[in-house]
Amino acid sequence: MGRYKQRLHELMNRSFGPFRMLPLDEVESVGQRVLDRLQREPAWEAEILSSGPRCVSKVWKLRWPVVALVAVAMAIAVLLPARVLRSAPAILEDSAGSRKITFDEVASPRGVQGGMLKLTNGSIVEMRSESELWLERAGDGLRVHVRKGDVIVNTSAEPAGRLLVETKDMAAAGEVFLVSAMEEGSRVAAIGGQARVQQGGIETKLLPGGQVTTAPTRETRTVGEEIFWSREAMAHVALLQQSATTIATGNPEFEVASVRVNASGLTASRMEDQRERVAISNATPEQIIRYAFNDQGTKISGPALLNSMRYDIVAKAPSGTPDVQLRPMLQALLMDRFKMRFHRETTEMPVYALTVGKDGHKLKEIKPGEPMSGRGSGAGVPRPDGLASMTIMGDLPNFAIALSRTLDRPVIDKTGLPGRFTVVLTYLPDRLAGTTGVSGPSIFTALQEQLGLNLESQRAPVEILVIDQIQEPTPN
Amino acid sequence: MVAVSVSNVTSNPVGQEFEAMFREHYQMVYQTARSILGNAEDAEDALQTIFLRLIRTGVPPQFRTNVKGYFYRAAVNLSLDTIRSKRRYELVADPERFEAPADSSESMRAEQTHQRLTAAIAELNPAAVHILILRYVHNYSDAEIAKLLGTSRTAIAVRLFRSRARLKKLLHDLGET
Repeated sequence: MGRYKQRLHELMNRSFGPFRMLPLDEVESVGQRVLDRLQREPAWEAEILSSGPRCVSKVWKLRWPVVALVAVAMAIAVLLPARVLRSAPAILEDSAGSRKITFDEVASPRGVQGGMLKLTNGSIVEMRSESELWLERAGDGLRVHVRKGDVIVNTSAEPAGRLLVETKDMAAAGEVFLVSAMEEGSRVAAIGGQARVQQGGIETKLLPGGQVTTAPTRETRTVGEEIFWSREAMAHVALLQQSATTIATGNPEFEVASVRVNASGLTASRMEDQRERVAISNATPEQIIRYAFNDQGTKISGPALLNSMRYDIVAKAPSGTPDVQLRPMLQALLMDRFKMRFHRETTEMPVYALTVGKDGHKLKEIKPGEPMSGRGSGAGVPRPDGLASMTIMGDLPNFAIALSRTLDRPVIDKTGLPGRFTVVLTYLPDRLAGTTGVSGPSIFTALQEQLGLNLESQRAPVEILVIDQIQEPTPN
Repeated sequence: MVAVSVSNVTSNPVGQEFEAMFREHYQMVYQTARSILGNAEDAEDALQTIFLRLIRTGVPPQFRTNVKGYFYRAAVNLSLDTIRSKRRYELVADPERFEAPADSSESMRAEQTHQRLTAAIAELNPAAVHILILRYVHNYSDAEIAKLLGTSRTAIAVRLFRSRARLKKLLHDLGET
């Protein structure tokens, strides 16, 4: 056996070996849970095992409407005056000169400089070389379909939002925005003003600098980098910076702020804001962002820096600043010193629904007026025996947030149980499953056995705070 | 293979047949997804999705000819899709969840190695991944792989050779070997 082949064998065996024999209780409980959920599906009792007929009948049912539609389309094509079809809603200017572009004609600029497509409604579409698009009539205006490549759309001369730009899997409208159509998906980025993006029935609003993509394998770059090819790149970058400044200066600023790297190697952090002062010790950018936005539940997506460094921040607000102003000021500090840019988007993704088990819950309720004794720990605190322990005193939506952080997938409270509870959960962290000498229930089993609660896998729209850009802070 | 008992017998004959099929194949589907995805939650989700699709859309025409092969391919393909789509929405987890017992550094390293390996595997052609997982997770011989995937033993040997060479390059790029 060759040397590299042997090393590869060793690596594969080392990596995949633990999965050859999974713990019996893990496999059993997973099978039981999934089977329970499948049996609740309305289609469970249908003839699922007879292949074909359902698909065939669907096709058969669709055949006549399709034939009718084709016939109507042919009739319209024959009856419409030819000059209507030949009318030119746009002019393309490129290195070969300028020419009219008609509806449904695929337009592509000649030469490496790309081209400018000027629409009759005043909008301008800058096309990168080798990009392709065509124009379609829409109910109250035009629709641009980008088939390939990058375009920058500027609709500032027409009523905003009337020009719809679409790709194979996205549709966008806005003031100044970038649309990229790639084989593996699409990307839309806002440059000036707000852009609205429709994707799979979900609408996302982008602020300047924000972007959304359906091409997961593409390297993520900042919007400024994405538009370097444009003849108007400098103007667009200025527009981006202007928009960012407007957002950042929307909040009052600290008088003095010190930001230093904390290299202590400790994991505990401390944050407080009161009496015109914010003091943060040993916190990661993600923790600071959560604190600044007072948001512990929303998922955050972004660069590795979010959790790779820790910082100390001491900031002094002007005299008389109310405490409630301090966190918005911290947001402004993040945008100024860390050059943070972000947007929020909603996407459908796998979640867990927290529900009550069929035998009822085993939660200990905290009665109204009863003091909450002891101290809760939201995260799974490690114990000497390898198990993790979670203690929560509060309502179940908060417990769901704590579970989200442990499971790395959003958990939505669907128990319908009002009130506050003392929740104690002890479980074996997933990454320690199979480790010699450590045994215990998975978090799923522990929830069922210890609390009488279930986690059901579902898909649901979830809001994500996307950090488009964050850098190491500028010096004090 | 471990014997697994899943209770809950339905009174519906069609449901019973589907349940029997679930019992026969779910362990292989879960094990395959678990080995690629590395965590129990995503693997459970993959298992549910595969059977749910069958319930909702019905079985494809060639399903009966190789049921096990169908489930195996579905498990690999869905797991690869999950890994690729996760790169888009790689959620930054709370750092506190990484606060592990002091002696867990070895398991952490093993987890990181597994993540790098699966990242490289996700770059391979799915047909190549089908073979690699059968070899290294399910311990199948060339002949057994050929039988399950409905191809010749020679074709498997050739693909395995090419897959290893490609994997070597990918892992080298990732700094793993």
